[in-house]
Amino acid sequence: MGKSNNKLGSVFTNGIIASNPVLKLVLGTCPTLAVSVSAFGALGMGIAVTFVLVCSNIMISLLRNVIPDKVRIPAFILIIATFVTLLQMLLQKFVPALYDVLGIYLPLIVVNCIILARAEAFASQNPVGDSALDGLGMGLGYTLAVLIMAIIREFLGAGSFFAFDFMGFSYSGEIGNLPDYALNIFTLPAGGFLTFGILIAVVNQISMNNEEKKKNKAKTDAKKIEKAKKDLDKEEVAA
Amino acid sequence: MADNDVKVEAEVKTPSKKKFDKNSIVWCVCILVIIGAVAGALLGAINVVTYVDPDEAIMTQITAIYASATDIEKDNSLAISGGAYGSITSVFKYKAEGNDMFCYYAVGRGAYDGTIEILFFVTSDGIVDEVSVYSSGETSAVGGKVLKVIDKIKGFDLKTIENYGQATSSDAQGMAYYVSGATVTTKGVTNALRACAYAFNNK
Repeated sequence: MGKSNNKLGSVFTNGIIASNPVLKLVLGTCPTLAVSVSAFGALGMGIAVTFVLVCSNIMISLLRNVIPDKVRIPAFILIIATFVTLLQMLLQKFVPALYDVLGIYLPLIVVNCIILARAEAFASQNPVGDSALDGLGMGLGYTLAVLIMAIIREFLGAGSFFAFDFMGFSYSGEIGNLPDYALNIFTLPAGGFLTFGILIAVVNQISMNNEEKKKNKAKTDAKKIEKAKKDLDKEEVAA
Repeated sequence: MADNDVKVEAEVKTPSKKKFDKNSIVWCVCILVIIGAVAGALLGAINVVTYVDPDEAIMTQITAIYASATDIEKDNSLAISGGAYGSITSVFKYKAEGNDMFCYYAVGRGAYDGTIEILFFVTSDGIVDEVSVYSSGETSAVGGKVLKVIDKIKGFDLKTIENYGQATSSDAQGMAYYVSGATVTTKGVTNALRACAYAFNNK
């Protein structure tokens, strides 16, 4: 039971930290760079991608024994496109503000390689529960990465924090006189690449430090065990 | 010798695996058709819930902008499309504060997302009184900047437009609503404006 929970936990957290689709696997870079101009748009895109990831993973996992291997990719695309179109119709009707913000990048979720990669690498080979958790973890990992990027770019490029205009509520998010000193390059593609590169470097450094700590801990543990063994041998000899 | 025999046997066996398996092809097609049919049925059902009648939506917009609007009626005999880069989908006639007004539902091609759909509310003198984006797939970061300043079309006299051809980059840059870096979206808006002018000037 404990092992099963641990496995489910690792399936879920894998996408958020260890195999973050954007910062570790460098998947779905195009929409990430495009929508990470405003935190509101990034959050909307993250939720949209998570919805499609979870739904398509569940459906592909359910049909994994029925879909023939030869036509698996067209079948996956068909399933993913269905959920994206469904989401597009619902957003256009009920949340037009978000629909306008996401623009052309909403239908392009169909060809987002994160979704196709998870369908091919995980959902088509694992049970429904695991696939749903994997989709949720990967979706949250994507949302987290794109949101961090967007907060940095919006702050530096527009001098605001989480500005939005949504369902009659609007918030300019401007911080003092900061918009007057905003660095416009951060709202342009060049600024996107710059932020993306720096974020990847920071994440890589943190994970390298963590690995180093784990190695050192393993070494000290091994030394302790060896010392304990030697002490035990000495006691036995003395006895 | 024995090894050679095994290799020859393997070589002979390999082509037989590549033979067409009709059953498997039929099964593959059936599965794709079934998935497509279920997806189509699901989307059809959702479409029933989410479908918005464009005519109703336009009439709602007219009454939202002109609270005193009366005698609203669709008159598609005025929907005259003349260019390849813009067209008029429908035209509504109405009265606002006693004046005859027209609402042109124009589609401009050549935008970033292909087309951009704009409603032009025009007086009987050909002056654009109000303008509203009906539908667009432009990105908020670039093309969206043009749509935010589209109100600058207000007061534009449609009778001054004589060029109904495809808007070029230099045409777009000369417009009041031009935004640097969003030339493609500006061209789409200009094509819609020219389509509206063509329909108005040739009615």
